[in-house]
Amino acid sequence: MWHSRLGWVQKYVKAFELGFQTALEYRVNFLISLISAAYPIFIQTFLWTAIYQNSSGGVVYGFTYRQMIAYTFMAGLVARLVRTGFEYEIMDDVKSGKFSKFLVQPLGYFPYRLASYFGQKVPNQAMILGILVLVLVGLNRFWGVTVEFPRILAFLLTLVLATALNFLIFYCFSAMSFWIVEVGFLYEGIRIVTVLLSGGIFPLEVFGERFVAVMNLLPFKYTVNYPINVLNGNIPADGVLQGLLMQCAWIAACLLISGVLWREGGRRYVAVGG
Amino acid sequence: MRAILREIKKHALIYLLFVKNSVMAQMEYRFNFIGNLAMEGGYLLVKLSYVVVVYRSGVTIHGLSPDEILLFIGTFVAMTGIYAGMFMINMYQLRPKIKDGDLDLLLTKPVSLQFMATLRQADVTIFSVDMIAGAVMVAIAWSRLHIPVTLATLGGYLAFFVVSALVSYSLFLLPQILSFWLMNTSAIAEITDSFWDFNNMPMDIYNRWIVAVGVFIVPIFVITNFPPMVVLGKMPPLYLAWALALPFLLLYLVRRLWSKGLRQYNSASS
Repeated sequence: MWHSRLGWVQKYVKAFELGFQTALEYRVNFLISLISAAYPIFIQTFLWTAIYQNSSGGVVYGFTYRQMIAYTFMAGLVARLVRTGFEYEIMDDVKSGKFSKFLVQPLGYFPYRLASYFGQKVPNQAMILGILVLVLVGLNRFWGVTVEFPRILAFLLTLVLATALNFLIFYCFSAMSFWIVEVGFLYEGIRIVTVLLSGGIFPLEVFGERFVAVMNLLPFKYTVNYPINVLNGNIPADGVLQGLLMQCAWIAACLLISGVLWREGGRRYVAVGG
Repeated sequence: MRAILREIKKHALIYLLFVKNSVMAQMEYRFNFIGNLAMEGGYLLVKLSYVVVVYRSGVTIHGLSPDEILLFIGTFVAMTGIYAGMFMINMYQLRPKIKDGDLDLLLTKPVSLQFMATLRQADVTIFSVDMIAGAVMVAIAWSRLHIPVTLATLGGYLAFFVVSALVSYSLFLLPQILSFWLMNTSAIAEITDSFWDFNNMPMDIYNRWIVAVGVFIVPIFVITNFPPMVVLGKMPPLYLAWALALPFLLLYLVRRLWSKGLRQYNSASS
């Protein structure tokens, strides 16, 4: 019994290791993608600077200039932290018939993907968290922005849940591969819209109270906007707890939805050849 | 002169055939068309979010009102249709074509190789979505700014739009031509490609050093800033002269580099 459970864990530890190695293999590619991720931060920093310079008050959309710049930097990094990419691999697995091997092997596709995703995320997250630490040190050194230790801990916890939630959101979307063969462009469209809705480009407050009220009910803001607000102290302690509950509730909901979608999709799967 | 005109006519006719073939290929996989539409719609939504930010703040940024900024963003969206719909797909495919020796077949055709290799495919979905959205945004801004529709304003805008298209073709092709020398230029391509988004907002939001670099050294700002600047009467004479000389300069540079690069090309067959 104990041995069989150990074997079950070992399989997915291997998948985690494979994901980890893949991330290290393409580390230059990742660094380059970080450079291209820096462009929007750069453009938005100049945009906000211009808006605040020409604005009569010191507060725009409820943010001071320093808060807005801090948000811009953190949003760029956190959006990159939780970003997926496995949905294209799933599309390829279903399209090319490689998915068949998971049906006959003693390996669950969901835990395999999850373990591989976290394996890929660890080195990348370590790199981005390193940059985030540098940003926070810079904000503290030059602007006197302080972040209390409990907030950092709460941020790390929300970040792990945000990564898991984003995985599940895209795991649900990736089930579309069973209905649509060439779904890559659609994934890209979904990705960019979810980045916008999660607050990965601008703070959600920019789009008005009604928009924020709707976003509070949807899962997207709990992947980027919420962890940042936990870190920069924009939400009180009870709000942090409420957000954590929403993250957990959406994780549970996405698990259920993905289960249904994958069961239905799996019935449509057709593999040709041996 | 007559020979040149004949060549231009021939290439224009061939280009129309390329577009027709591209449309047919896209229609063959209809869901690709919808997927493409969704992708471009997503990107458009992000560009529109910048418009929302500007309008809701209600701030005049360095002398540019929200309506004037809309004119710039609309031009950027329309120009993205030209770049992403007509050039980008070919530029992405140039590297594998050189690497795999796929230029062999094109070399044998009695048409310019550069023309065939860099303009053969077009994405009509991206082109249409961005062109329509950009034109609507420009028209709204134009109307709200009460700019008269005259030969000078509309003609000037369209003339500089063509200049911008030529600059974007040349500027973004240059790094791709390095594929003749380097096996993997994907990193360079990814970085230069991201440069495109610098045009998301008017160049006036940046400091003057960045503006100087973006106009004269890596002339990315020329692409979407100059057409609205002409219409708004905010074009300094130096920029005007530069805009007229730049397409010729860049096209010459591209042509020279292409010819040099082609000498490095090794055929895959025989």
